Amino acid sequence: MSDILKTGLRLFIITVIAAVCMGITNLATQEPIRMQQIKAMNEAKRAVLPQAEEFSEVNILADSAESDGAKILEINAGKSGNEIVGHTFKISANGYGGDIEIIVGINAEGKIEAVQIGAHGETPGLGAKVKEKSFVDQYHGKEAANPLSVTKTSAMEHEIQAVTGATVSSSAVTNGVNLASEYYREVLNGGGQQ
Amino acid sequence: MKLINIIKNGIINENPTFRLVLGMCPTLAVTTAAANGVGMGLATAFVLICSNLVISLIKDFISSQVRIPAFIVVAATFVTMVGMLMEAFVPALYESLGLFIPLIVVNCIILGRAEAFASKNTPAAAVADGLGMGLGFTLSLTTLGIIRELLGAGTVFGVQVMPQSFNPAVIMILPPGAFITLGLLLGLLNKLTAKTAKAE
Amino acid sequence: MDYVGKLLLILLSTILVNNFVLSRFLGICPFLGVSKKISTAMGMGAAVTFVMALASLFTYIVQYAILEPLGLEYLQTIAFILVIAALVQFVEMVIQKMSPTLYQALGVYLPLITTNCAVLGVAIINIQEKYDLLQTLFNGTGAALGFTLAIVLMAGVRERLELSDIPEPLKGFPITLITAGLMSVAFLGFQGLIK
Repeated sequence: MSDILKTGLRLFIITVIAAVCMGITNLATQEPIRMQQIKAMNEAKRAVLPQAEEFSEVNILADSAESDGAKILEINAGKSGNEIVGHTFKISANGYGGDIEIIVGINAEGKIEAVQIGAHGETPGLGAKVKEKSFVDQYHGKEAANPLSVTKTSAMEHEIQAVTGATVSSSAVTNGVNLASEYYREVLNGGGQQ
Repeated sequence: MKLINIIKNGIINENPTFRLVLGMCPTLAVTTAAANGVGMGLATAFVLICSNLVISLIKDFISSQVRIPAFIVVAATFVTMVGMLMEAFVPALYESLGLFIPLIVVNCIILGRAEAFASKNTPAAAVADGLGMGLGFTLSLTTLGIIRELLGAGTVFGVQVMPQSFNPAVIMILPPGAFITLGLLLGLLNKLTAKTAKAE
Repeated sequence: MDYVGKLLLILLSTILVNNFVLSRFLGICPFLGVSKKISTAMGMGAAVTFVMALASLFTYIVQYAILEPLGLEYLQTIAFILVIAALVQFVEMVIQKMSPTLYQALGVYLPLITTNCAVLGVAIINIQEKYDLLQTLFNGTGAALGFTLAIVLMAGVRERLELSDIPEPLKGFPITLITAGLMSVAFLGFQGLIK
């Protein structure tokens, strides 16, 4: 009986030490992880709306914040001087391997300025390629007035060419961008001003 | 056994990928780019060295029947720690490797070496073994990664190497490419080692 | 009705479109090790299906009833792997009692289900995809069925390969890997099944 107790106790001690180590590492890395996320978000906002000098967060209208497969997490208005030069949207879309974080910049002329991909769980070498310039550059200059669709061949005016072998990931990103465009059309531009 | 020999053993004679055929899942999954291969190899090496060391230190503390759960707790602790450290300091690599970081805990190399070596040798030898196996694993992942990235994307470590006219064979970075490249590499190595065995 | 449709989609996806072994690279070690005979492969597949379904259930409970309420998500890896290890022990005892022949046939590969990355992998994926309980069970079972399909198909091919003339350097793992590569190409054909 005491043998089992001794073994159990020893295992318990090991587990407790393990838990303490993990807890300490967790505390030590929480702040750096948060800083990384903030840094990445700031860089992304500046990248998708380079003409803005500063950003201020805008309240999201709950009714228009979600679509099938995408959700708006944060909207910022970009200002240069006192003028609003555009908006940035942080969107979460359902990708192939979990959520894809998308940052969209729509300028004051109603055109998509740029799109950037953040955290994602897409397949390396395949869906992960949506992060590359060659894919996201396609969105630059597209009108926010029209929803975009995905095609496997050469893209036309309102189309985006998918990454080869990664249609799901490409569609997820386009879905997210469309949500931003839709919100811009219905709330920020067409609807009330903020 | 001299420590330097233990290290060499892990890199060449008992290379975990090409000789022991262990740790196949990450080998096939993350070698779509050479940089991912290096990152995964080093992360695994870190866990391997730490877990080998700790297991060698506690080998007399735990009885044989509960050694497997003990090995698992030790390995899982270091895997969790390396994951958090990577998320804090190398977020880009952390994202690229994704699911396969927690899966290091079930990498057969970790538990395999714990059982076969660390639990039966001195801490110094265990660390040497972890270092050798870790380096061997990193080398094989990087090799596979370079081949697949070069043929499948025309780049090596993100640097364009192939001329613009080169049309990359995308299949190389898709699953079939992984299986076939590794299979052919193993076959090639078999052929080379058979030749040197015959020559002796 | 749409919900049921989504469940069936999960099943179809894990078995064919994103086959855990041939597309996601999970479960490769047993896939290469236990696929020599069809009968052993089926036994292994059955054991893995049982473990993965239960593991999906228990890890779901652990995540949402213990880890998240206590803010201990960072302990996910160690908690999940311990649940799986305990489950495999349990399954081992059950098989030993119910079918000693199967127990003998699976040998050392039974406890090795603990290190089958497919089991831990699917548990983590269930949480990542934010599946509810039913979706989790379907995903876990589907993944295991996909694993079984891959391993049985491979065993079928390998039984034939035994009788063929394979060049010496390719015998063993090399030819198995190349075969897996060709199977993987075939399964790529299922990619367009789900939009």
